Amino acid sequence: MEIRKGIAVSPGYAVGDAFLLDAEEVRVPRRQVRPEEVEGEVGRFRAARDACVAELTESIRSMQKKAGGVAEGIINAHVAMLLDPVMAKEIEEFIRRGKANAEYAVASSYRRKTKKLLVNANPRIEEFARNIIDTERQILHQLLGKKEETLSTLTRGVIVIAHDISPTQAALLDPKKVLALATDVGGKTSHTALLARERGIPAVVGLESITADVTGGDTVIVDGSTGQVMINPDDETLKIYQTLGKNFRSSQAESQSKYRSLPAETKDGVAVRVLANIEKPEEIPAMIDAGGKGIGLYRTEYLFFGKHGEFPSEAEHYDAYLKAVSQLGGREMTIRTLDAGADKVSLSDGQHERNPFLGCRGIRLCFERGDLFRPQLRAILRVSSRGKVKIMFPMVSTIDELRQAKQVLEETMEDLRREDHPFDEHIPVGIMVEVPAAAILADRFAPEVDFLSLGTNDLVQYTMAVDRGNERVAGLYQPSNPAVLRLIRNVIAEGSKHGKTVSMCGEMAGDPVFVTLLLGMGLNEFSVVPNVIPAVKQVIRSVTMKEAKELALKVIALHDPKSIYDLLADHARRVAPDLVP
Amino acid sequence: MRFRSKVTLHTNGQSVNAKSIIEVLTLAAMPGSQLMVIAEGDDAEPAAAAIEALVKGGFGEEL
Repeated sequence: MEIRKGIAVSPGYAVGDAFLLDAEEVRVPRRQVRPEEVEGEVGRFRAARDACVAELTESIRSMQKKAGGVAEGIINAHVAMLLDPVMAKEIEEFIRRGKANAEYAVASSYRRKTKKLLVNANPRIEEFARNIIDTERQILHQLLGKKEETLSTLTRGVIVIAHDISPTQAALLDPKKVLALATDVGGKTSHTALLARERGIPAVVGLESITADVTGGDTVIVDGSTGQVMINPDDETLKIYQTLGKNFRSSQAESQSKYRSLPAETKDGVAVRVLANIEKPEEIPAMIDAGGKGIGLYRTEYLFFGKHGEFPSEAEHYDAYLKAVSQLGGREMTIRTLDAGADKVSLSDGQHERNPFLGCRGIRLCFERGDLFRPQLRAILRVSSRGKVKIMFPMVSTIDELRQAKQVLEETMEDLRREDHPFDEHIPVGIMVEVPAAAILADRFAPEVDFLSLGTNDLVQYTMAVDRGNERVAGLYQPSNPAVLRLIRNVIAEGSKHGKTVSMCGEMAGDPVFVTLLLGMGLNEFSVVPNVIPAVKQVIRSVTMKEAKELALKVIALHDPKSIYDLLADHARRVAPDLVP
Repeated sequence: MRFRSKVTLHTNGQSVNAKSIIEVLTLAAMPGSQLMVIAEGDDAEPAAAAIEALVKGGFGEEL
């Protein structure tokens, strides 16, 4: 058994046969054609192009129902590229003037367009180029009569292994056929990650050499929760993951439909709120579909992502937020201000930090870069007149930082009042509690905020002083460590004491193993990726508040993370056997 | 084609046919780039206005 570690971008487990998506360059034949053959080649090009358009149009129709707007948008753009009049003219001229075969004319004409773009370091522009190359490949495959092995022709469930997934391929991902995804490249905000999460397909990206490590037909396990990919696993591992995978899929399907419309309340009638974490407004339909109460964490980094030297204007922020608010139908939305630095977006300001996790990130960077912070605040405030919007500051470690952030916010409000821009004068203001210093001083922070939101991914890392991406120490990343649990309990208790909402937006909130414990500690709000909303509701609906409180008391008495985890997993297995193996 | 006019987009010393999505992509224009629209023909004004509206509206998506 070989184990590879990548970036987990979409949770879940899957076991299956590897399907290597063809990533090879198409070999383009070049030949001179006789003058009388020229019009025939032009005809071949047109027929190939039209066949591609017909295929894509058909795929839009066949997925109309299940796919969201993202996929359809991508495919429509591809159809427009295939039908591009300038490209067609250039290709046809190339055939006629150069007496070239259609394949060579297509490849040369497209390459001329993409060459310029590929030297550009901006990832967004690279994405443009990839889209154009994708179009070219489709036409070439059609011309060469090679049926590209596409995701749309899969007949059974497989694990898709690819260097990268092109935007068209990603748009065609069908959760019934694609059990999981593993790719060489990509990050948390790539289109692959976004679409995989949206469809509930477990995915691990950034594996660097997975296409070389895996041969088609190998048995592969993808653990989209830890980022591990296991190749030709031993029987024991295989068994464990087969159960995990089966449970994951069936519980996903079952709970999706069953718990979608049911309220998140315990058996004894205590209601809590389950919201969604999103990266982009496109994920909102999935949240609504899963029965979420709104957005508990809207990460805004993507607005800054991939922009070298240019940052989003107030109008760009505003448009994105308005787009989100307008889809929410009165549900609430918590917008987190820029949390760049560390593992998130780098602003490439040329300042190298030796220790970025302890460096200028989150609110620290917001203060340093008022030119980025203020337009974002203005936009958030302005959109607060259009819906239920809350504002959240990331990585706050001192009371002073909170006060300073509120001061900047107050100044921004003053500007807007002067300019007669409407906004919500009582917009709720909160902080992410992800630095131990803030968790310990929750009693001091609580009176000065409207809500506290536990960012457990970072809180665990900072409390345990461990980078969970470093496999040599990743074992110390222990959400069930008593030190972490005490901090969480303290934040929830102090928040409640001061009558403030306490929310959790870390991965822990979406882990069925921890849900009951968090309930018992008094957590009011769970904010999780859209597709796990039903699972969280399922656990909540399977327990009583009394039972949850008892569990929390038992846990507090225990000393080591493993026995705590085992106790919680046992309990979760009893109340929701289909969610926990 | 919705407009009969010849429409070109200009930025960074490059100009392309605005009716070609691929040409427009090769401009590599990013949010914040300055674009100039030149439309020539009997429906030039509405054509240019339509492009301006499209760009200002973020092409109907978030930026």
